Amino acid sequence: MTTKILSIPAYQTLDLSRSWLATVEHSPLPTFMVEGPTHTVRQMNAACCQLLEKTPVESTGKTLGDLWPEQIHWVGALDRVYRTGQPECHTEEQAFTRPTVFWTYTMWPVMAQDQPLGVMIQVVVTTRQQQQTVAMNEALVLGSVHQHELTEASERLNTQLREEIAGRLTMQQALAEKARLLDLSTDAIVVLDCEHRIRYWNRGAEELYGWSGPEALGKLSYELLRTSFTQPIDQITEELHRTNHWTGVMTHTKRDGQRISMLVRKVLDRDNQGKPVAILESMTDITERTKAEAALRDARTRLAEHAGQLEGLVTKRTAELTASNQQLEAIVYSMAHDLRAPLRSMQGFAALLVDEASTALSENGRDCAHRIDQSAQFMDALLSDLLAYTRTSQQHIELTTLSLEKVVGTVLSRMQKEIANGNACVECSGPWPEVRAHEPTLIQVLSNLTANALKFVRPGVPPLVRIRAEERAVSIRVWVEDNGLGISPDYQQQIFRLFIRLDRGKYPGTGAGLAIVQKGIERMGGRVGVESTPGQGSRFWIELPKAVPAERGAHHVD
Amino acid sequence: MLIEDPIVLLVDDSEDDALLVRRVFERVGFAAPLRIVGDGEEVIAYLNGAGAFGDRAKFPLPTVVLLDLNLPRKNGFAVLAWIRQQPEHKRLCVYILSASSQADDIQQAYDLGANSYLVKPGTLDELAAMTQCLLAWLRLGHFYVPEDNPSITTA
Repeated sequence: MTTKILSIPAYQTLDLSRSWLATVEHSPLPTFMVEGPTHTVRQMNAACCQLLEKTPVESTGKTLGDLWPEQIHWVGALDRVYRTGQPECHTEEQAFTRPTVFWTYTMWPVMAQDQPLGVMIQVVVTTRQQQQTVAMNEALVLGSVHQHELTEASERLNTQLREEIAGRLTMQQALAEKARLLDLSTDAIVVLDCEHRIRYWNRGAEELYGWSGPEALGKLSYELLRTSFTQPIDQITEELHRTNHWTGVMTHTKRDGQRISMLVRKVLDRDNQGKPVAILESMTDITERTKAEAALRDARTRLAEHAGQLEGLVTKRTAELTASNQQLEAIVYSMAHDLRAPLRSMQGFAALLVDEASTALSENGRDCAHRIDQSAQFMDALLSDLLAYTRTSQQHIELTTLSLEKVVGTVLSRMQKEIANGNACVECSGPWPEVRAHEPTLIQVLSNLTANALKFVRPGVPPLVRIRAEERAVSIRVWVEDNGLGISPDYQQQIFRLFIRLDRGKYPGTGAGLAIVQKGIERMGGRVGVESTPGQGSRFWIELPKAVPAERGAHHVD
Repeated sequence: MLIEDPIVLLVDDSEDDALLVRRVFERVGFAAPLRIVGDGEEVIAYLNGAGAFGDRAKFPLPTVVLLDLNLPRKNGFAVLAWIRQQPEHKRLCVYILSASSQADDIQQAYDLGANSYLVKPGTLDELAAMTQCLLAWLRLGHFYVPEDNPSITTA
């Protein structure tokens, strides 16, 4: 009869310790232990030796086959226990004795590093009546074995525990050291458990928030600090658990009630199994920074507003100025026009006086009338030039591609009289490229320059005027050069201003010619300038956009 | 058919200008046919023979109107437009005589049917030269002459 003993746990981790062997040796129950697949006896206790009528010397080191050459009925069970590690109980009836006795072999494995080492066998010989007791004993034995194993296990655990405690002490020392370092930080550093209870509160936190460590520890951090979250706490928790990190801004309340902006960095601490155990929070007071940033933002906004306002103002002023400038030019134009009417009368009547009443007038009277006539004529010329100038600045300008040769030809044919009167020589040398210009304005400009070249001559020197064109990168430069008076560098800029005359009285004119030249060139998008040495003539130049073949046609410039 | 000296109707609000024109006409010996009115309404009344202008012996219909543009009450353009709308005056010879040499004014005058456009000269000498020229031209040309003009006689 073989019984499986299921109540006894496996002894996987048990090895054969000395104390255990001693326990077996002194057990009152007959017990022996066999090793290996051949079941060689390792140990047989005194009780067993007595029962089996063997001495330890006889039995130790022998196989069961050596000890009992006759067949052993329970060897199959023994093999199983050795092989499977499952304890079994085998009972044999010895029928030839009176009363009948039962041999009960209780077998349990001995393991070393999960490998079967051998089997412990306890032998009990009982009568039928004793069966019950034997079973109880069996249970007791197995229980004691179990007990022993448990003791072994607990001893081991104790050792582990001691080691762990020692380790923890070291760790605590290290932590204390770290905490001391953390205390040096001016940042507030706080450790929370998973329920947000404060478990660590460094000196930075004490100084910043105003609560001492003992006051803070165990409190719910968000209650103590009356935290205002910038995003829902669920989101923060979710992100923290997902990434182990969270950084953001929160508003906390100090012990004195002051609200402060905090840059909070959270790190989630997990144990070996990955279970969250604590949250480390490091916090920096960014109230000043936030304030500064807000002020900066505010300042930037205000600056942008101011810039916008200024820009608007400039645009408005420019528009106003342009409008008022146009208005002024229109007023100048109409004034010049209107002033000519009474002037005509003054001149007309003064002339009539000279012509018709000259006999009735004294010499002085005639002179006065003559001067009135001359002044009125000069004023008329001024007004006429002013009209020409304002017309140049106000008229509609349309640039077209023009042949310079044709324009210069027109200018010279219109000035034939002046050229002849001045006994002048005008040289025109090509080639003549095409330019982009407004024809009437360009004719006016070149006429004025040529007229000046013919007018401001040195006494006794026949005027020599040279007109030529010079092709430049994107423009055409037209030169009007003379051998006349020349212009001192001091005056080379101011001669382009309206009614500026350098030799008042000696040469006729109002001083509007070059102003009209400059205005006309400006309206056509060109440039004008002069190179001159007094006594050696002047070289006036104008620059106009070069005509691009593809660009033939009208282009508006207003 | 002999055409006598043409009748010139000067429309100018400036008494000075009108006087100077009269003097110049006198100087070239041609004062008699010059009639002068001072504003737009007056020239219309003259042409219509309204009121005192009904006396055609004294206020004959003109051969040519010298019309200023800048006139009180009704400006030169309006007068010109009115003339061209009247069946009996639409062929009347109208010369603009203005101080303005602006292209806009010149263009508008011709658009409304001006026969010529003269810019008032700046000096008396130039005015005299222009007047002589004008009279020579008027003597040479054939102009529309209304039927009832007493200054036209047949030979």
